[in-house]
Amino acid sequence: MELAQLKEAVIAGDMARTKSLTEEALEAGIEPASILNDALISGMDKVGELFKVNEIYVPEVLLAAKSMQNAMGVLKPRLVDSGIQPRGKIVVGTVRGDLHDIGKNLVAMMLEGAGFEIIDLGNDVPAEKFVEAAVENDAGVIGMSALLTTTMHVMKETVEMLGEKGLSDKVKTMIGGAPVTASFASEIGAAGYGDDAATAVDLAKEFLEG
Amino acid sequence: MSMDLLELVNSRPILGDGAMGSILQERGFKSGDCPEAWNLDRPEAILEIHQAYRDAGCDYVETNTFGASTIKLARYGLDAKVDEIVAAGVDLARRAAGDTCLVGASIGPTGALLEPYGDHTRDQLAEAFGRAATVLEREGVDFYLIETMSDLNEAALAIAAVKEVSKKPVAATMSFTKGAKGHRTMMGTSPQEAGIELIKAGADLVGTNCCSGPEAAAEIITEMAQSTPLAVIAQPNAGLPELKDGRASYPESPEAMAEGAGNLLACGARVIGGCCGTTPAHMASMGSVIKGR
Repeated sequence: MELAQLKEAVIAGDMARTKSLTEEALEAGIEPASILNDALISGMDKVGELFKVNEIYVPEVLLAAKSMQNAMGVLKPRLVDSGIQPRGKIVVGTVRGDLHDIGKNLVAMMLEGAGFEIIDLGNDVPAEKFVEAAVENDAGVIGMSALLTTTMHVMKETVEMLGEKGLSDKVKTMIGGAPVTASFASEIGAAGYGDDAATAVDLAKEFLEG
Repeated sequence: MSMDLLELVNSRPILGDGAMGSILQERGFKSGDCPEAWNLDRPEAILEIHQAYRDAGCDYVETNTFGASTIKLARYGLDAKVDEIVAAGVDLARRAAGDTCLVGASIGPTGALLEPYGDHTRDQLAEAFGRAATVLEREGVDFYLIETMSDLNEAALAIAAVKEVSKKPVAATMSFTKGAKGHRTMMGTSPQEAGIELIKAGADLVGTNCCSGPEAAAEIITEMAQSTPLAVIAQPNAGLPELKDGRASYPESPEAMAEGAGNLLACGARVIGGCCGTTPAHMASMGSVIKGR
């Protein structure tokens, strides 16, 4: 049993094989943290790289992320037993008035694949709910998605609300979605803009790990 | 209008419909509303938009049924009203079209992803498309336009659902974004592959819509034409939206879109319409170029 095989199974999006290899790795006595970091997260890192340069597209990324989720079903109890903490907590959602969630789900799965704990608020999420969820869960990042040009203002409201509550340093905002641009992000004072799901992962690492 | 879409396309270049969604905002559409619910709640607004496009010279108007599938309507809690919403959509388009132009049935993506990467089965999507197509056909449209598709499998299911209930022409267009490998749909399909597969699935005409502008559309059509001579439909956006004072504005002027339309004709496009950000003024301006030839 080699972790390289497991990593390859994640990259290939082979759900059944990812799960069975994870079970084998645990039986072989490999540390859960090592399985997570050296195979699963490392595999998802590679998936993110391939996605960024258009070597693979949304279906392949979703299959890889689902494979990782499968493996996590097996691995999670063991990680908890050994006291492994997630890399940090991130609140995600599609903003108020917007019911499009394909992009948001992709980002959530990629962030989860990178080892973050995700609090997914779904779609149609108002500014106050993003802020409340971040405070309640002690999350360091809020990720917001919009597909419609009519809903992007909710991102601004969320950023402003964090500012009013003095939370701007503690909770970073990152935004994305088809009509969203880097210049819009800087205009509203969001901490980051992700052109794709892989960039969202890079931003989260930067915000939560420096 | 006595000719059907295919006869019309063979006889001359034709001017497609302009945007619906982005126009609704000017009439008080709020984010979170369901655009297709306006067929029942604000029918006069939808009718006026269709009439404005007819008066601008569009050779067809598209029913306001882009998202009228049970799967998408369920997000608004309106899936039980699907038949009513679709029927009203056809009625409004037909009333505006009269004998002046054709009525195209708009069918957009469900917003759900197919297994194994998504959580919906092929049967679920086929059923949703079939329900809408049945009502569209019963109420009497002139042709079908399956549009803004990203996933070839979903597009093929929509085409099959229409073919099951109708013998009318079926046009299918996909939405591409330019990345490191050139134009691809979100799911990774190239224009050439899209052309081959959509025709194989039964489409009579193919092309692209909701791309960043007429230049991108010209590139896509040129690539798609390498795999099929039926790659003739281009319905680009009026550029990429910019947010001004909390409202989206689209940068391309009617004149710029008209110039783009001329270039699209030169690239082999025969059906040129407009997607997000286009207005009756854009369509009239494009029409002067398209119909002038």
